[in-house]
Amino acid sequence: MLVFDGLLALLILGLAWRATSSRDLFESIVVFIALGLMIALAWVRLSAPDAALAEAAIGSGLAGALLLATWSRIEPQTDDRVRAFSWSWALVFSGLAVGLLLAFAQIPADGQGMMDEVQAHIPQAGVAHPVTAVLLNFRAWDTALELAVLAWAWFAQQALNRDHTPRYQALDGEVLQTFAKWLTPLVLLVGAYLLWRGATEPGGAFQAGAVLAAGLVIYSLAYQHPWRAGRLNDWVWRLSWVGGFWLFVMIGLVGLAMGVGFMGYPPAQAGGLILLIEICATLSIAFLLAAMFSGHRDTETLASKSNKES
Amino acid sequence: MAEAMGLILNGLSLLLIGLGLAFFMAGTLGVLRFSTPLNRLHAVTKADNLGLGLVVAGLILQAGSWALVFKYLIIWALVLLSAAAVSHLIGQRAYQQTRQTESGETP
Amino acid sequence: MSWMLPALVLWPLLAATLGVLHQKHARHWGLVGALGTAVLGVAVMGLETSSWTLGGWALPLGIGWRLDQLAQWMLLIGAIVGLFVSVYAWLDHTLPRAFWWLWLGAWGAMNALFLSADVFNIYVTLELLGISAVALVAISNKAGATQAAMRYLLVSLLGSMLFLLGVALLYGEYASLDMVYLAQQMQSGPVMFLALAAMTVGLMAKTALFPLHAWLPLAHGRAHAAVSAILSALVIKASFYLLIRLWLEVFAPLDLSLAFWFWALLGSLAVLWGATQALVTPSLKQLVAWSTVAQVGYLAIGLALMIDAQAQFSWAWGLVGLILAHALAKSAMFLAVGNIQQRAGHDNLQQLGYVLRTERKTLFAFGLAGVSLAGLPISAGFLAKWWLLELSFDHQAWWLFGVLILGSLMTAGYVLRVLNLALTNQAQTQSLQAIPAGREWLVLILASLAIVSGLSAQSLWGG
Repeated sequence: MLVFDGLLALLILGLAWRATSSRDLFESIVVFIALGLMIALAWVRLSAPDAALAEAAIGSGLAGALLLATWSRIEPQTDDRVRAFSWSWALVFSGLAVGLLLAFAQIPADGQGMMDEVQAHIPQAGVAHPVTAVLLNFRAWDTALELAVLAWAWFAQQALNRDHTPRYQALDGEVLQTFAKWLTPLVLLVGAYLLWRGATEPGGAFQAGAVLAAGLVIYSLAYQHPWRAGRLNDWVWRLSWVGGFWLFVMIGLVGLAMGVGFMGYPPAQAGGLILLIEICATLSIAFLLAAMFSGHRDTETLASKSNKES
Repeated sequence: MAEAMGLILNGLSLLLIGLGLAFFMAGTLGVLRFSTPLNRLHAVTKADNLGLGLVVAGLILQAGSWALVFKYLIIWALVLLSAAAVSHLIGQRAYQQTRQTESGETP
Repeated sequence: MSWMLPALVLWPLLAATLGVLHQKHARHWGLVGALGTAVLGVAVMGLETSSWTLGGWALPLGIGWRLDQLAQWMLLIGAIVGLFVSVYAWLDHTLPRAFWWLWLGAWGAMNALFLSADVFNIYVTLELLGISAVALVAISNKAGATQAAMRYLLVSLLGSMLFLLGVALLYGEYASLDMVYLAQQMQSGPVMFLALAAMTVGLMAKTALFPLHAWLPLAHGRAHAAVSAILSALVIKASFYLLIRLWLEVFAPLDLSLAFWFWALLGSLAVLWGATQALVTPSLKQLVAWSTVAQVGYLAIGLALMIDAQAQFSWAWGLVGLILAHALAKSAMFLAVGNIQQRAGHDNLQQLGYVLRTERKTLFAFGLAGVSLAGLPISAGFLAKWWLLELSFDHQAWWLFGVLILGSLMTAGYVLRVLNLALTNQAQTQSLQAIPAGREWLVLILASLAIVSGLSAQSLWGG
């Protein structure tokens, strides 16, 4: 296995170099996606399946899709500048690398971190999987703020450019549409499964949300417009972006009022509340990530477009 | 007898996985050596689908439970499905582009 | 825990959310959010200082929040500056409505940062703050705004990464993320110096401390005036606040004997380089931006003197005075520049003579803020800089004495560069845009605060 790990490490370094040094933007993106998959493999080898799932789904999959969507909107470009090798940066980063190696040798190898502490409190946490217990209970405030970060990233994107649908290529035939149709139930199933499994095993809202978002991305690729269910009002969409965060902190405030502290739950209800929060968080994450990819066609944008056309 | 069965199963499974890997190698070589997108696609889809099938068959022989067998089969089916859809898309783009260059249009 | 503490974070975020949901009235929701947050930020001064863990989980499992005097003062500074900037922005109809949800997001993130005692939680707040601040720069429609924002984004992300690296090293060594606990456990060793170095470089970049300042004048030159005020007065102070926490608290047990030279030298270079650039730049907004680079140097010198003093943490009030003085003066200056720039339609110094002459209130406000920046008597800046002089006198750091005096003279120089223009007899060359009269008064009141707070803030460092 040592050989495999060594090869994996070298491959990761090589791909990272290629992704940053390539002159062709498209090639950089493709290599970046491959890099994400290799890093996910590395997480598996480090016995961190949660991180592996997140890296594969978000770091490689959706980030890659976002990069490609951006690429489709800008002029094809290659970077023809002659690149000077910067000794100062090379020095800074090799210094950092050497320092990290030394630090790695110094830090206790059998360090358990807070694992004992976490295991001791699992019975009161409402969920059995330690990662989920940390994310949704012990350090719920971090996770709530991460949901806010994701929402604000999308608000920022909206602020900068109202129309950011990818530039789709015309498709012949209906292969992709059929594929999307077949995939939809599977995506829903896998998303729900990952969410449900998070209580006891690796999985949870971020991974489930990413899988659902991937399904929505495939839908918008196949039909060349963002997914919209029926005639739902814009308000429903906007609420879906912030619903996860606000439900989370509202329950946190109830905790404050009930005397278990801000962002705390009464232990007896913890399991149910966490599941409720995770469901809403999953939906928020899915719709936020999908909106970042395919844009959100609200009535305002549509109106301004038809104004321009007329 | 049971031991002999185990040995045969292991051997067979190793053989299948080895064969599968050989197909993967061939497919990868094809991607590297062939010149046009369609040729490369031809090489990689054939070789990879068969390669994965052989690897899955080999793993099934080692699987301890029917649930695991079922999961392996699902993985194979899903990869086949997405490979088919994706290679169709790549092929379509490649075909469109070749036609455009042949007819002298600017892409 | 008082409900006010969560409200400090959640109220601005709620108003921002309502603004997103109800975009036609984002401006009004924004003002409601800003007023509420400002009231809360002031009211927090009346709360008892204490610390809590969130969710009722005892340390080290849960996330710690703490309200000490330093946090209270930072929240208060945010409240005062935030209030003025918000009212100014409300009167500025050129701002896109996205300003409101981004600014309130940044404000909520800063409040969460000041309350947190947990280094990883602080990283998360830095993410929220960074993404909002970068987008605030990018919403400007001036040419080059996108590139400047992109550069700021990269610097900000690199800074966050380095901070996170330090967090990982701290956690790996002590299995805890709580700053108080870490400070108690801290033992000298190469790993801790690496953690300190990584976090320091990351935060220096976010604070725009020389030599990692290049993004700041670029971003300021193109951002809206209100955004520049927020960035210079508050956002870079949030990362400097973390430097104070790290150097004077978490890593204080380490042997930091060389730290004085590190901070004093970088600070001096920042003071001199920033002021030199401010003396020669052709644009008014760039002048004020370079002035920020210089003034951040004073903060670094203050930090150097505090570390060298081996002084107790409670002594850090001089630093708070510096932050307060700069936050008030610099926000007043940027808002004044915003008035002038919008009136004239440009900010090219050579052609501003006529506009400056007609905008008396705004010009007076600019002058008052300049008095405080240069550290002339009775202003808040005077007290803060006097404190620096006193400390460097105590340390017999005579060269630092010289830098401080020279820096103040140069500050007076670039402020006079602007004031002088009003005395020239330049004729009107272009038609002027109208701006709401309220904005002139607002800037004048803010600048007066920069002077008056010098009278009232003497209690800050007991003299």
